[in-house]
Amino acid sequence: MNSRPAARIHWIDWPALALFVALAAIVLLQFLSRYVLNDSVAWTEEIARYLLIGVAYAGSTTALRKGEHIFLEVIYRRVSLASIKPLAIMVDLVSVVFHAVLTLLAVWLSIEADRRMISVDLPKSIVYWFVAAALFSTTVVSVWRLIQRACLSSREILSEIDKSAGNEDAV
Amino acid sequence: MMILLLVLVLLFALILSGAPVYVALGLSSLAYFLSEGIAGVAAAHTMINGLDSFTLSAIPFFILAGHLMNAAGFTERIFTFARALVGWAPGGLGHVNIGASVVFAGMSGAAVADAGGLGAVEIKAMRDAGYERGFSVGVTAASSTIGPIIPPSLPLIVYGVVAEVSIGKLFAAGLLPGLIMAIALMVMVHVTAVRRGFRREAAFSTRFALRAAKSAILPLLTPIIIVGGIVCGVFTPTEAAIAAVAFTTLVGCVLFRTLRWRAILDAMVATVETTASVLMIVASAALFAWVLTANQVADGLASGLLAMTSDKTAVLLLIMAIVFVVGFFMETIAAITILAPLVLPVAMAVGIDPVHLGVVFVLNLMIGLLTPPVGMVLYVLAKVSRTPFEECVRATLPFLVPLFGVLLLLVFVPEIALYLPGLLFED
Repeated sequence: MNSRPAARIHWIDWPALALFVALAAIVLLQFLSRYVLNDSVAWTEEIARYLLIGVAYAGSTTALRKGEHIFLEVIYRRVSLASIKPLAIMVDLVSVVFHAVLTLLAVWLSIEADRRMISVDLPKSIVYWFVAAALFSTTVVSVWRLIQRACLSSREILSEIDKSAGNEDAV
Repeated sequence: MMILLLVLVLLFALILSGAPVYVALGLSSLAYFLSEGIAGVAAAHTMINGLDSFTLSAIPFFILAGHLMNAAGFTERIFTFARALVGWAPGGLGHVNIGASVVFAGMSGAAVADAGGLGAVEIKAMRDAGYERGFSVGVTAASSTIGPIIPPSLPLIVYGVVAEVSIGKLFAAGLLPGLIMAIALMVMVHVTAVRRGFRREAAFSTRFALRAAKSAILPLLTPIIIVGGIVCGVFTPTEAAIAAVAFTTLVGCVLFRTLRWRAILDAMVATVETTASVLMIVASAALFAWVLTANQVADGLASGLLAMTSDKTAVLLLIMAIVFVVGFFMETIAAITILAPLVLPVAMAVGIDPVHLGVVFVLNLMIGLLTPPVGMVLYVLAKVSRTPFEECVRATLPFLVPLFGVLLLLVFVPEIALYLPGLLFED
């Protein structure tokens, strides 16, 4: 894992962090209840699954904000400097469209979902609504990124890609 | 079929133009839904519930444990210990590099992360000792692929979830192949060192070894807790991951006093990012896999492969050829989520054990991490060693030989992978 310099935490990162801490607490609780109390708490596993979904979608906003999502950067080193900016803008546009469409679909799913959670008496649509909200904020971030990169020169975009390269802890 | 072809073209065009992999997978799948007039709400359902798995929640905690171990200084202590143990041999630091990777593999589940964390330590030590840059990069790149073969392993967790195979069995199956990889790489280092006349470092010193062992004893306990716990069935993977986090935090904060609150917070932020970037790929790859299933690609592939041969080993070799080609162009997690459901039916039909398939599958994709254009490990090492990418590619090339050797050995001798799971698990 990379030991990175202390990163600034934006307020938009906090929901994902909070869910992650909650996930850790619940998994720890399940672990302790199984080994110490010898009797696992019933609802932990289901709630942990939903929290994981939340961490992934809310964390995706942070990852996009920092350009940490895994992408193939080889093309930026092969094309001429002049084509880097149009390429980056196109990629950002694609990302805006994708997240906007997915947000709408998630809202649709949240409205239609009528199932309830199994171990807790809550509607499952809570999970979907949260994902929809996370996707909405990812859409906003992708628009912001589009505008930001539209103001940069090709050279600046390339040096930004260089900086983020190798930071992604891919598997 | 025509539409599917267009979807594939769109997918590769998006990936090659540098769109995030999960956006490329998701958008090309959505294009399919749209053109076929399928309700998009099903797409959202597939993408969200593609992550609805308790086993997947092991992933963030293994990632967090890795970050914490780096922040707490476990990495350096393990490296020093490995140096005291095998540093005296010809090509000493090459062996140290591999040995440290094996220990670290027992704590971390990712190859690229190993290259970024431990790799940076290894390359610096080798540079200070006067090793040529290419050799250091090659050994570091090759040894980082041991990480996801020896448990814990993020790719094996994803494979286990997709293929519905016990993670415990998969982890047990990876242990021996991972050690064999290390031996194969050490042979390679030895041969290179002798042929090129690398000078030896200081002779073995019992005092130095004892001191290094004492300082590394707690970090060395981590892989024993994780690997031992999972393989012997005491822990589920998720429990082992959270235990590793708890243990590292405790040792780092209380005993070593190297972990500060700020470092823990940074590790958590980094973990959330990595988790999201991995899981979003799992989610949209699940959607893409749905599109492939709707087009009966698995059936087509099965009948195509079975028309050629029905011999178990031959089919496995053909599957490996497909995985290798895909691994050339596609990122590991996406390749597993998409390909595993496609090749599993035909593999099961000819009697290939899904546990065996999982290990060779992941090893094959790890080799893909060392080949351009998607060779993530190479990009990371090019950065941490400040070496041009092309030089990294060239330097790593010879080390692909032992790795391919192990892959073929595993294909032909399934028992290497299946011996331990057979011993430890009843059914």
